[in-house]
Amino acid sequence: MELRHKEEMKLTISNLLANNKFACKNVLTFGHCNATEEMIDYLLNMGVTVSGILDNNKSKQGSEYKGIKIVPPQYIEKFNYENTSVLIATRFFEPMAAQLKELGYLGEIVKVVDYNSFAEYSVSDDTIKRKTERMIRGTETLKAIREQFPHHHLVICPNNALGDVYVACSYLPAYCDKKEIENIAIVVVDDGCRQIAEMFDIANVVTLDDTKMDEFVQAIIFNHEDNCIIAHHDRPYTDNIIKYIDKYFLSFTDCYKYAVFGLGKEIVPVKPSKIEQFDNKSNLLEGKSVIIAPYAKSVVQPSRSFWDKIVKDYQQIGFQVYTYVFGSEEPLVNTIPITIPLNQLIGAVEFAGHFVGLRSGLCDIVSTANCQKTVIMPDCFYSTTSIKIADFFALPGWEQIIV
Amino acid sequence: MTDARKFLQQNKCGLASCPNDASENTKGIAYFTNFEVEIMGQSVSLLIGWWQMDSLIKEIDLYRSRWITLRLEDYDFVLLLPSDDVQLNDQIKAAFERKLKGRRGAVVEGEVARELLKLYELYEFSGKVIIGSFDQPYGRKLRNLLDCGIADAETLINDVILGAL
Repeated sequence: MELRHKEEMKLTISNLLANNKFACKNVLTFGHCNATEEMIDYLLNMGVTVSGILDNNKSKQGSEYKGIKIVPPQYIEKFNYENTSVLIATRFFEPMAAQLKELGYLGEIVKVVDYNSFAEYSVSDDTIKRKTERMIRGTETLKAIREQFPHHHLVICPNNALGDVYVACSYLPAYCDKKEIENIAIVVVDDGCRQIAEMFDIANVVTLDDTKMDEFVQAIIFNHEDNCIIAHHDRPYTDNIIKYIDKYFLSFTDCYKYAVFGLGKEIVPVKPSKIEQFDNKSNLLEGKSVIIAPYAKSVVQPSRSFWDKIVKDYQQIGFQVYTYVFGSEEPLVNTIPITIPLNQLIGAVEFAGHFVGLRSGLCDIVSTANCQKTVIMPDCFYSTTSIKIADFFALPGWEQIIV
Repeated sequence: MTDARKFLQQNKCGLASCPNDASENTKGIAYFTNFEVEIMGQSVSLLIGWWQMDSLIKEIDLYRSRWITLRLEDYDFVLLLPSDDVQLNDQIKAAFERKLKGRRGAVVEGEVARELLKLYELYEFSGKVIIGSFDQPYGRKLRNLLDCGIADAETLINDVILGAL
């Protein structure tokens, strides 16, 4: 969960607590994912008991998180709706709320985090007005970008996700060749994604924040903006490729190759060409250091004890252990925090000798590095599919630990 | 150039900023200061903005009225067929009816389908809407899977377009 979403989640729950909304109530959550786990952690810390995690995914049902059972949504029928609250912290709030209502549930449903500004199951005056204003704001952003890049092909990476931007950029030369595109401008969210685009020597990069990006993407769709591509397999709501992935399987990289860019089987992704030399300001020991990247936005986190063991194992064989941190992220216990510009990361892990990462975009960035690489794959499912994270985000040639 | 300035220029509103060296060639023409032009430009911008918003709201209201008057919310699934490709529409329609299995489904075709699609392109206003197309709503890329030989049309219709059923 991104920091801003975490803050939003905490604020929503704090407001509910302040208004005594959980008093004498059964609290359930809907959708088992990383964000739900973080929400449950916070609820438990605040002394709120969670009675169950509703989830449609049959393969998740029966297992549990912190002693809280994952159950089918029909479980809600056991509860008196007047004394029940269902908290939802996923981007599927609208369909989940609709499903609960279909099941006859009339109790409180709380959108804890507003992940998905594209969906709102209502055609009320207020909704129409807000969505129209939102699209108009997006159109203004589009106009401003078009003034700067009137004839460029706009490649829009709608998510603040390093791995998505990395894979998209790796197939862009082939896509441009196929479509005979001479000039491109890439539109991304936040600075990290900009750095990735620059690693692929893309000169024209526009950076938007999440809200502006959503508005901009909606304007692209509504206005049928020509000469552009929304480079994602699952966002926004207009594509439904995830249904194909679920049934027939495509890996993360193949989603981009086939579904997003429509490229042939023979196409291979390019490597980033604008890599900086590692400046080693942190004095890593060459070949005797390990950089651990324990954080990921979208996958369930392993326990602290899991990381403690990895740290201990490396220290026992004489390695210096570093935690790659960004922003407010905490280093693992007994490790040295390190922050490296993304364009130096390949050099850094090659210099260190070892890289261990929870599956995240950082793994994509160092995927071409020549060193010992270990990926930690949580034993869970990708999005709404029944495909394991380890299969969807597979990294051939890496040592893999499934937890 | 701002929208207002473009609008003024396109509609020959006769505004011009006062040149520094007004010569005899400019005699008889009323000039405005840059400040006045800017103020008028901003006013026109506001008017255009209001007019655009107003006409857009009316247009979207028309699309919404289709959804309401056809009472489409009462159905479990609403299939929109915005394309004129009769063969494809028939194929999707047949699969839709086959997959409904007792649930209530509505099929909307032609201009009304295109109007509702426009509303859907403004935001996802209902979870019941299914768009029967490989390329629409705008931005959908299902045809890529066809073109690169990964999937056939039948698979995409049954498992992706109608995947919610």
